[in-house]
Formats: sequence, structure tokens, C-alpha cells
Amino acid sequence: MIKQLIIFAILMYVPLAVKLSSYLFYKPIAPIRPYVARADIVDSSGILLATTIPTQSVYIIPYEVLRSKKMIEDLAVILNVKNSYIEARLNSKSKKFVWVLRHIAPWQATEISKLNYSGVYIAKDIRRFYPLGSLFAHIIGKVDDMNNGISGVEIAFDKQLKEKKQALKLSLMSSVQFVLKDVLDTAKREFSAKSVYGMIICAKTGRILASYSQSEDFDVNPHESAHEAVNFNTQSVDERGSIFKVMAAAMLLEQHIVDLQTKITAPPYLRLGKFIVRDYDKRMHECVYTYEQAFSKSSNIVHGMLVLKAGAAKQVEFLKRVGIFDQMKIDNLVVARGLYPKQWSNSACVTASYGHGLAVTSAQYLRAFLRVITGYDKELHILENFEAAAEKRVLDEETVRKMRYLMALVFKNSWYSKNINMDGYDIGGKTGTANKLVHGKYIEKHNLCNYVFVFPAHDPQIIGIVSIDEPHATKETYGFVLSSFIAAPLGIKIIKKIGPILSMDGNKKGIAG
Amino acid sequence: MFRYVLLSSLLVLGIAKSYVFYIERSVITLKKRINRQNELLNLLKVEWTYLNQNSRLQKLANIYLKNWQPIEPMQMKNIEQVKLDISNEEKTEDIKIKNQIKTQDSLKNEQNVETSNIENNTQKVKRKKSRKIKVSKNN
Repeated sequence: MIKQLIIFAILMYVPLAVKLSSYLFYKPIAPIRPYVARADIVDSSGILLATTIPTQSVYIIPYEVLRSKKMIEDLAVILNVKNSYIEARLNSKSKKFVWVLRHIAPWQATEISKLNYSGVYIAKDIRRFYPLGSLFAHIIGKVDDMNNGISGVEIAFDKQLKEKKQALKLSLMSSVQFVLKDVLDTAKREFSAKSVYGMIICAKTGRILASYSQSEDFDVNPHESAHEAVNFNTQSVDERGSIFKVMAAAMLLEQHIVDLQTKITAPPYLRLGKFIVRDYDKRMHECVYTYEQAFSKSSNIVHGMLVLKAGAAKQVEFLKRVGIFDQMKIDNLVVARGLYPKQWSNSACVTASYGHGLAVTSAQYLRAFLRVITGYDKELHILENFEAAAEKRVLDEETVRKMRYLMALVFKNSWYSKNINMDGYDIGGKTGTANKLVHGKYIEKHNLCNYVFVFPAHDPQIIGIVSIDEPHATKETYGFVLSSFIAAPLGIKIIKKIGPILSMDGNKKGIAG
Repeated sequence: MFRYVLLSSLLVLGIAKSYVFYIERSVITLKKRINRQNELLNLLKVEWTYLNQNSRLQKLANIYLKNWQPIEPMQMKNIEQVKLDISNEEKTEDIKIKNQIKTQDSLKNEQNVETSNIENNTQKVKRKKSRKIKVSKNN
């Protein structure tokens, strides 16, 4: 009985062996190499800003190549290059591996493989692609041949992009960025400026919604581009001009040196040794103005006078609190450090009150402005999901309220805000025209025109800054090269378009109206 | 006896190993195919965003949606503010209607008084009727 069972069991193996024997003839294949393509970059609404796409590249192994004129001609015709280029590639030093051309089109790859020349191979390759073109060019940055980041977000988050598969979500918004780009590009063409740059941030959280910078035609996608991608918002250190009066005003109101309604008699000029401070409006000393009016008329003399009363120590301490002296970082993105006077003499104090004598990037200025307008020490962020740090108070509520009122008042009193149907937005804005230093001298009509705006002023949601470098006067500006002619209208255009995009209520009542 | 069992079991184990090899191989090929398809899906996403570029849509809108204007800031309003405004309007409308009723009543009283005067003052009525209605050109 047992014997029979054993024989039966042995016999059962036979058909199984016959069936499984066919698998003996399979060859092993290579396992999948652990290769994680560089992660995508995505904006706050999920639109792709940067991805890796698979491409094909042609390479040759010179040892195996049989040279012939026909082969060179064929390759040159298909790849649309000169014969000399391919000959140079064939004659190159290394005989084991030479790239001919990377990232070719699929039809080119099929044609070359059809020709079936010995030694000519096609490899699978990957490449970084930016579907939105040059919209986010400077803030996202570029990548080199080996897919390592070179500038911008690509280098700031290089490790994260290489290791993680999940897409990196940024707080940027492509619709807002497009509005900014559109307005700034037309302005650059209209005023034939050297460069234009601007930034728009959310005042509640410090998230950057848009950051655009343009100095010359910049093409993001070709595989052999040599332009430097300089983001002027974070790298261009310049004297900002009258927009610094916001900081001076905040300090003066906090220290109770002036109140909004105090009347001030200003001298026709301020003299500090051999250094003379004058106003743009040369007849200001003829009337008695309140501080509000002096601020809206952007008087250098009044601010210089009042800051001298406060003293250098308090001014420096205030600017430190507001973050002007730090080495700033936007979530791993490094921002250029500013230039400051070594000794805070009286003249340094006075010039710092109206924005000359110290130079910062516009990103750093914007962070300081954010701190003054909200009263907390916030940071700028470019990631959608950042670790929120505990916020300390920078200014007390009363000064914050007064500053918001001042910004709205300046806008209301200005001439460029007439006949704009946007009372509901309660806009606040300050112009700043800064003369540029060239070889140590201030040259007339070479200005940096800035405009900083915030809306709605009683409860700030959006803050923005727009800068135009060396604009030229046109007929419409009546020969003037001032921010109120050049930069302020841009700010207004931007607000008009951004408001509906971000579904902001345009029918509220303001504080200065 | 024992040898037969040993040899046949070794044979079967060897064949089973190659079967596992076959399965692993098919897994690898399937994974590669999945990765390829995912790459192509990503490419489709990329093409979609490329075709949805803001600049491209702006150009198309300028051609095909010429008569459309961008939204004005005054056209956006908070829904709760709208509700409040409606309720305020209703309140004022009630007051208005009440006033209208009051004035209508007072008018009726005056009319009763006036009808007795009309018969005496027919000339005045005639003048009123014969007055030309001036229509301004700027209408």
C-alpha cells in the first residue's frame, strides 16, 4: 500500500516537471535601477511649474564607428547641424563614449536608428522642462546638464527635489504672476527701462504670491543657454528712496515724537556740515503743515529734522526690529545682504530716514514693510506648507492703526489716484524715487522708481512692490522721471486686475474715505 | 528508492526556482511598462499646462471674446454684505411704503377739498392742459 502511494507521488512529479521545464530556457533580465527623477514643482493651485520629461539622445562609440562621408552627411541632415560639428565629435579625444546631440526629437531618433550605422546609438535621457515658459523663470531658476539646480528654487530645495517623489508645492499663483508680468513688461517697453521687478505677497501669512524680474530677453528651455538668471528682487541691492519714510514714520509715531496732527514748521533746507538736504517741493517752508500732510507730500526735510530729535540709537534699534540689518532667507532661498553706513552720524540718520545712504533688496524692504503694517515679526515664505514660527509683537496696535491710516491718506491725497473707480479696495500706497549713484555721484534723471502698495488698508490682505530701473521720460510723463508718473500707475493697474482674481470685496468703505 | 525521491525533488525544486525567476521577470517588465505609461501621462499633463498658458489664453480671448471685458473691482461683493444690504433695503422699503400710504391718504383728503374748487377754476385747469411739455435735447 505504502509502496504504491510512493510510486504514485513520484509519478505525479513527471507532468509537473514537464510543464515547468519550459521555464528553464528563460534568460535573466536586469532589474530596475533605483532612479528617482527630479521631483515636480507645482504652484499653489496645482499647476505644473517644472517637470522632468523623457527624451532621447544620440551618442557614438568611436571605437566601433566605421567612418564614411555618407554617415556624416546623413547625421548632419537629420540633426540639423553642420558636417564639421559631427566630424569634430568623431575626432574627439575619448574613444569610448561621446555625446553627439542631446534631447533630440522622437522622429530624429527613429530616423537615426533606422539607418543602423555601427557605433551610433540612442540613449534614453531625461530633461527638465518648464511648461509655463519664462513666466516664473527667475524665481524657479535653472538646472544644469546633470539635473542639478543652479539658481533660485531649484538650488534652494535641491536635496528635497532629488530625494522625494512628491511634488514641491510653492505658494506662487500663476494668474497673479501673469498680471504682474504683463504690466511690468509693457512698462519696460514703454519707458525703455534697464530692468523691471516686482513682488506681491499675502499680508496675513507672508506667502509670496508673485515674484517677477526682467532685465533682458531670457529663454528658459534651450539646452545650451548662457544667460545668468539674476532675480532682481532678491539680488539687487539699491537705495530705495522715499519708501523708507514709512519706517521713519512708524518709529516717530511709536516714540511719540509726533502725532498725526502736530503742526510742523520746516526750514527751507537742512544743513549738516557741508551736506544740504532739500525737498522736491521747494516751497514747502512757506506754509505750516501737519505731519500727515508732510508725509503725503514726502518731505525729506521734515523727516530728517524729526529723526534727529529721536536720535541714532533709537533709529538703529527700530530698523533692527523691523529686520533691515539681517541676512534674510526666504525658506532656504538666500537674499543678498544690504549695504549700511559704518557709523551712524547725524547725516547717516537723516539720509536713512528718507531712504538714501543705506541700500537693501526689495524683498528685505517688503518684509520690513510687512512687519510695520501688521505689527508682528513675520517672515516671507515661498513654500505653501511651511512651519509657522511663534510671532512676536514688533509694533503696538495704535501705531499700526496710524500707519495704515497714513498709507491710505497718502494714496487719497495723491494726484494719480483720481478717477479710479476702486474706493472699495481702500488702497494705500507710497511712491519712492531714488537717484542712482554712478561712480560715487548722483546723476540726474537716472532713477530707480519704486511703488509700494497695500490693500485693503484697514485690514491688509495684499502687499506689493514694483520697481523700475532707469526709465526714460516719455510724452505722457511730461518729461518727468518720477514714480508718481511711472510706477504708481502700474501699481494701480495691478490692483485693478488682481482684486477680482483673488475675489476681494470691492464694495467696502475705507478708513481715509 | 530514496535516491529517486531525492533526485526528483531536486529537479522539481530547480524548476520551481526558474518559475519564480519567470514571475520576477514578468513583474520587472510590468513595472517598466507602468513607469513608461506614467511618464507619458506626465507628458500629457505638461502639454495641458503648456496649452493653458496664461499668455496663450489671453491671445485667444482677445480674438474670440472681443466684446467681453475683465471684471471690474466694483462688481465683486461679499455675500454676507449682500444679505445685510437686502435686509436694510427691505426695512427702508417698508418705511417708504408706509410713507407712500400716508401721503396717498393725505392726497385723497386734499383732492376732496380740491374738487370743489376745480369747477370754480376751470381756466386754470385749461392753462395747465395747454402748457407745452418741454423736452430737453440731452435726453
